[in-house]
Amino acid sequence: MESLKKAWIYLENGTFLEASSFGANKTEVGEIVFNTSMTGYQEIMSDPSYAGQFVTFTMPEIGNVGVNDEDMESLAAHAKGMIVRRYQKRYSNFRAEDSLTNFLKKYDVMGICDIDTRYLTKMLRSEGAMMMIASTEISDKEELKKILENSPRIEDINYIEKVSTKEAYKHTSSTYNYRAFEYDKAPSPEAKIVVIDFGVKRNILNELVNAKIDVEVVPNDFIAEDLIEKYNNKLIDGVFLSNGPGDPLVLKREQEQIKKLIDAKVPMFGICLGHQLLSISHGYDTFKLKFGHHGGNHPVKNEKTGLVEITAQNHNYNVPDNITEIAEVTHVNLFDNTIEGLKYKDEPIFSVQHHPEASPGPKESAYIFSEFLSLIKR
Amino acid sequence: MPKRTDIKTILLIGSGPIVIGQACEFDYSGTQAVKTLKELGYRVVLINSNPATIMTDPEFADRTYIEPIKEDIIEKIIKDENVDAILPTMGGQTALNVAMSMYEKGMLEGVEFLGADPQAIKKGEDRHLFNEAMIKIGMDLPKSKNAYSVEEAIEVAKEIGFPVISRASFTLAGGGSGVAYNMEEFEKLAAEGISASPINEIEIMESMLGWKEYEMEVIRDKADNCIIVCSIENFDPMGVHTGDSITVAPALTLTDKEYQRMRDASFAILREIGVDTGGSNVQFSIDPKTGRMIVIEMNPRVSRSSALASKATGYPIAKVATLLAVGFTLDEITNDITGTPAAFEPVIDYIVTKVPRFTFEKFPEAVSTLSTSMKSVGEVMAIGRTFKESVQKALCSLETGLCGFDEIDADDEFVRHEIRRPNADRILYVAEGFRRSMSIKEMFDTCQIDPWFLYQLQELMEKEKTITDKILFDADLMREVKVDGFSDKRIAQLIKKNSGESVSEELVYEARKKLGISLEYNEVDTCAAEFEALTPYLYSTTNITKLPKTAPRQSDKKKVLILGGGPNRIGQGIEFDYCCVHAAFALKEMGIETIMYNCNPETVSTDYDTSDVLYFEPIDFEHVREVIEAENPDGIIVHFGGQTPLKLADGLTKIGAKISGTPSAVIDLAEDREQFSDFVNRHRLKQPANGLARTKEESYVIAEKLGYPVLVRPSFVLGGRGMRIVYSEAELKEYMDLAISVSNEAPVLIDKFLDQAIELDVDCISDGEDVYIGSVMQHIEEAGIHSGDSACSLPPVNLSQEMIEKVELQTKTIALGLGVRGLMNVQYAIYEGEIYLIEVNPRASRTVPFVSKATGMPLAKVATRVMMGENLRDSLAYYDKYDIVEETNGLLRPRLKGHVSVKEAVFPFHKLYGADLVLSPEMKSTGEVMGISKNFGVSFAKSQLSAGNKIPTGGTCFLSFVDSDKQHAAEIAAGLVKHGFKLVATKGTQEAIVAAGIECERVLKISEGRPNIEDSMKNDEIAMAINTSDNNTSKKDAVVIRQEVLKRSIPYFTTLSAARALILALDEMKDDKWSKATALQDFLV
Repeated sequence: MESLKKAWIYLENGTFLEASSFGANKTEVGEIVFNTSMTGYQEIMSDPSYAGQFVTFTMPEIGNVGVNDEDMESLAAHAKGMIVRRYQKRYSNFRAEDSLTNFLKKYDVMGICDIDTRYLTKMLRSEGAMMMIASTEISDKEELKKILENSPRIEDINYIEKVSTKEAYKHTSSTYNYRAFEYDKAPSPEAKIVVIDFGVKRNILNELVNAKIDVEVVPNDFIAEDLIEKYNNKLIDGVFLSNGPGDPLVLKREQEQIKKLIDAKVPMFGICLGHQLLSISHGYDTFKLKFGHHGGNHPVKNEKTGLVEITAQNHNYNVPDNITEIAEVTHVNLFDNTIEGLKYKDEPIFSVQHHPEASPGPKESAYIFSEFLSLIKR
Repeated sequence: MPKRTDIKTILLIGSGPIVIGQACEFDYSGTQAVKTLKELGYRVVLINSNPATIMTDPEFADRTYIEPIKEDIIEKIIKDENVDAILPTMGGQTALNVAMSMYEKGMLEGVEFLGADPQAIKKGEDRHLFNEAMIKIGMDLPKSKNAYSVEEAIEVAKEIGFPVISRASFTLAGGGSGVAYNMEEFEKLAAEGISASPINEIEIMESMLGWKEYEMEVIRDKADNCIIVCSIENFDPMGVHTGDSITVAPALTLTDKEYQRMRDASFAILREIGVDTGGSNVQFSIDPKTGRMIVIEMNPRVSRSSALASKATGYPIAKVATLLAVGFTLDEITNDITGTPAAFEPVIDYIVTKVPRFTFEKFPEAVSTLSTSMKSVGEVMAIGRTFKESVQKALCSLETGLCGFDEIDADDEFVRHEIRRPNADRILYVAEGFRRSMSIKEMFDTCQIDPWFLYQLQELMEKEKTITDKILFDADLMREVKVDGFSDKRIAQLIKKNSGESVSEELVYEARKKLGISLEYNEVDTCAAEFEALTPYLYSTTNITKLPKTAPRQSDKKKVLILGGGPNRIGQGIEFDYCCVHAAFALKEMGIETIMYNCNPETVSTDYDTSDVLYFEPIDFEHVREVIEAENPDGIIVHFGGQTPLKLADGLTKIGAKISGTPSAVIDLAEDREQFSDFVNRHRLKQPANGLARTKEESYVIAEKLGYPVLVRPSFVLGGRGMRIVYSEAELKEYMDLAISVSNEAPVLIDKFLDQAIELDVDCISDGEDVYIGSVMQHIEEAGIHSGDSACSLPPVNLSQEMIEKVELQTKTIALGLGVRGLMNVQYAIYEGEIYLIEVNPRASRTVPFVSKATGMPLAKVATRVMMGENLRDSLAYYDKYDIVEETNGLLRPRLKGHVSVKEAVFPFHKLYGADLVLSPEMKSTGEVMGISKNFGVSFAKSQLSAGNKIPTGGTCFLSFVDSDKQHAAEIAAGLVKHGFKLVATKGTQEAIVAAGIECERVLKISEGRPNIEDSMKNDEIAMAINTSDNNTSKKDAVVIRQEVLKRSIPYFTTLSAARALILALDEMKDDKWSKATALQDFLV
């Protein structure tokens, strides 16, 4: 076995650790979070919502199943890096096409391994998400510290501009067929929407298509008036606000545009960042959770059915409790009782904080996409 | 919704004796169920024939029936106790089967099924209904079709594609079935199968040999909330029973898409089958080439795998399933470990490896190739941060002498053969193959184990090469190697191998400590550290990162470490876990903090609820020592977990650890032959005459001097292994030549064998001043049969009071003379009116739970108080709930309340194809049952019924006695004839019986022509067999007869004394009054 290159990480709380590198060789600054999913590292690394972040995987063996073309959640890997306890270069899975190392190198993303991820997780649990720097080039703690202190924080960077599509496009593929091991063809649509891309995951688009919705994806710099006009002319039936990276409070332009859509009574559905932006645009600012929700095992109670859904989660920000003044809570997180889903009173708008598109994660919340069709179908 | 209030009394059915396929995991689930139901305020009635369980402790259930788990008995209990509902999903297949059979016969009218309703159970268990249900929900099943002629079969085989499995319908023991890889092979197999099948039918099935195998542990509540508690991946590919496979959690070679597919399928299956309040296990197989996923089976109940999943994640499946069964939904239940809701899916940040434990060494004739019927008797689980660390810890836990991937001394051809053949040690051969530079491809082609696992083993073998004496001074290398889970002992071996320098484990340990590398402890917390763990359930790891030292766990209370017994195996099973659990309970009652230490996932001891702190670790010197360093306990109990912890006592004492109770010097004295002989002489006790032979010639001289028969055994093994009774010099020569290699280092012990002696077992407790005789038990089988395999009676059946008192006084002399503080077990033989001392064990014995149940005095708890320094009288008084302690002649003993308890052993012969059904000084039983009633005959009859040896009340009985027993043939025959049996016997026996004027037909031995006894048995003409045997007469005939008896489940008795007990039982079985069930509580009060 060839030995791995060394790497060093420094956290803003002063923690300095030596580790190994299995990804791109470079120096990067980002926010460190942890994710407890036991499967789906490729989906997580290709999820644009992780832009600007280092993801610590609590699953200790990573790389086992390699990577493949099908399991991409976007066209690239957007996170700053992944931090794992042990990286396994040789993989084994019938769908595997390449190693995780080659994947990370291809997208210029760092891979840090041979580090005690449980120690990091416990630290994040008690101290909260924080900024960090990782390097394969600089081993000096003071130097790393200096670079970190002089780098912008995650809240100060607009990652959405980096991950959103530059051109509008049609999305045509449907959900994954687990028997044929390929994506299904789209069923014939019964409604038509525009998806605002803040860093949308591919499986959200697949699920929308699967719910018989025709999907056009547009960049984050959309103009509300255009969409309102299209809606009024029945060229579209609604708007979907996607997930995406970073702090929603800094997205002033997007908030303004969304406010206009709300006022025009355009039916809307938002997931994650989209859910947060709807709240802010209604005048209810989000707050930052201590260490966020990242994983595939959070219980969410559906207040309508009384059933518990095990959900995929990935967010550091949350809508405030007093939003109940204008919206009905449809979903609640049973771990910490935070709001997971809202239906705005007297408005054709609803949204969820968790990820019903899963990928990775449990799929039992996927019914929500059909509910969107019911809302917009005219 | 809260708990149901419309039911009051719930009957819980246990799983009976420990057998292959059903071990103490059902005591774990049953105990959780009883505790949970009691806490909710239900009246709990329990039936279980196994006295060695925690759940049958009289203080657990309201009413405890230690009775045969049989339909008529359960029916009576239901009536007597006004049972509203039964919970049949906690007692394995035994409980499920009996409940379903009763349901189908209409015996359960008005009694509700909790956990899973009969329709669901039926759908899950009936192959045909299950397949139909799976097709309905679009699940993939193995392709299969029936055929009735060879021509038809050929067409089917072509359609399915090779390899195929051909299975003959309605044949016993899998006759006419097998795998075919080509048409020629198949034609032969199909023809055989069609003729073997009484209806000329074969099922031809797609073979999934070599496919990957997975299990999902699923919970569903009545509101339809579903969760996966744990996914498990088998290291061994399809073809090996999952109980015999090495398994890991979580699944490691699935992408999220494949994992979610399996998760969704699991839920769909539970919904379709209709399991709506509880836990189930679903098994899948995946074609490694195409990813095609097939449903293998589901179990609508808690299982061995769910116990493993509970221990692997910290999520208590049985407890949650019980709560769901009585009306709760998942969101109403709290996860004890984190305080968050139980309605979530556990995530783990470590790798769990389970390795099964086999005991083929006890059954040298049994076929040791693993296949689809289970053969292992126990298992260990190990936790590590990586698979490498986890699997090496598991090997250290096995108690087979391994300290990791020990080298194998065999030629390449044999190594390859054993890599191909599924067998108990295959993983070691795979490692050995890599050590000898086999490539991944070669290895995969040979064994079909997933390459991912092969990579890990290959890398470990590469790492082995880097371990030289340099490691003792190289902190980086030492850490790297420890991170991969290499034990200190293994490192010492590898230094010797690679550098030629002999170093001790101790030296490696010291070097490691100097380099600043210690094991550290992580919590098993259900959530991968997302939330804080409230219950300290810990495992060790060597951290990859050198981190600042965390503060040790703080506690102001006095704390005691209890070392458990490790994996279940023959000779060391649930009895010892029972004792450890009792120690924890007793310590808790004393306000002492309890630290449990064990590596067996099936047990109650490893329930996080049992003790204050739980360490899930290999029971070897290195790992125990590290925990002692981390915890610094005020006491260590090594006497309750059997030999495993006991043999660590010496080493632990040397490093200054505080052993509670009987000190290790006393343990040593009892085990050292010479010291012990001195002790015996000093106290004017008697031992059978004996000698020690260092050469073959010496052995003949000694045996001649002692006089035949003699008992011979190698001096270096415990538990009766290799022990044999030898009747002549010729036999001794054979033994010395074949069975054993004798040398200076490994001498052979030769004892005068006390033929036809009565053997006794005595358990006692001493505090150094007083002695409490827990009980004197008389073995039903005569001396020469391992005490664990012998049935026994408490009180003795035919021993004078005077003799019993003599035995008790001797026991007191020994306990005080040795300086025992705590439990001691002594075995005696009464031979020609004299008492001989056979063995003394200053520790908890296998009979402690039986004695505790039979007398009402919890011996292990009393002993625990004594070991903590309390005096015996006070300790007894504390637990004398049933007012039984009495004192005469300065001896404390239980006042027996007129009931007779019989313990019977249960054997695995029918599970181990080829094994010979014969009892010897080597222990072979896996478990035990208890019969309790007002007289010996009934108790014996019940014990036989519970052990699966159902005594018939009429029909033809076959008799065949060895020469030395023939003088008693008439006595037994008369007893049988009195009860209406017809007799047939082989020549000598028949002559002896007829000579006494009793009618008896002669039947031919197999060697004498036909029709012979084998034909009679095959024609179902024999209802019962009494066939006494020794090792040297009519061997071949006896083996065939015993195999036939096993195959046809014909009740059999192999000793004269058992035959006598049988007659006493028949005396009581005249009418059906004998099968009346009585609760243990009623006997004790």
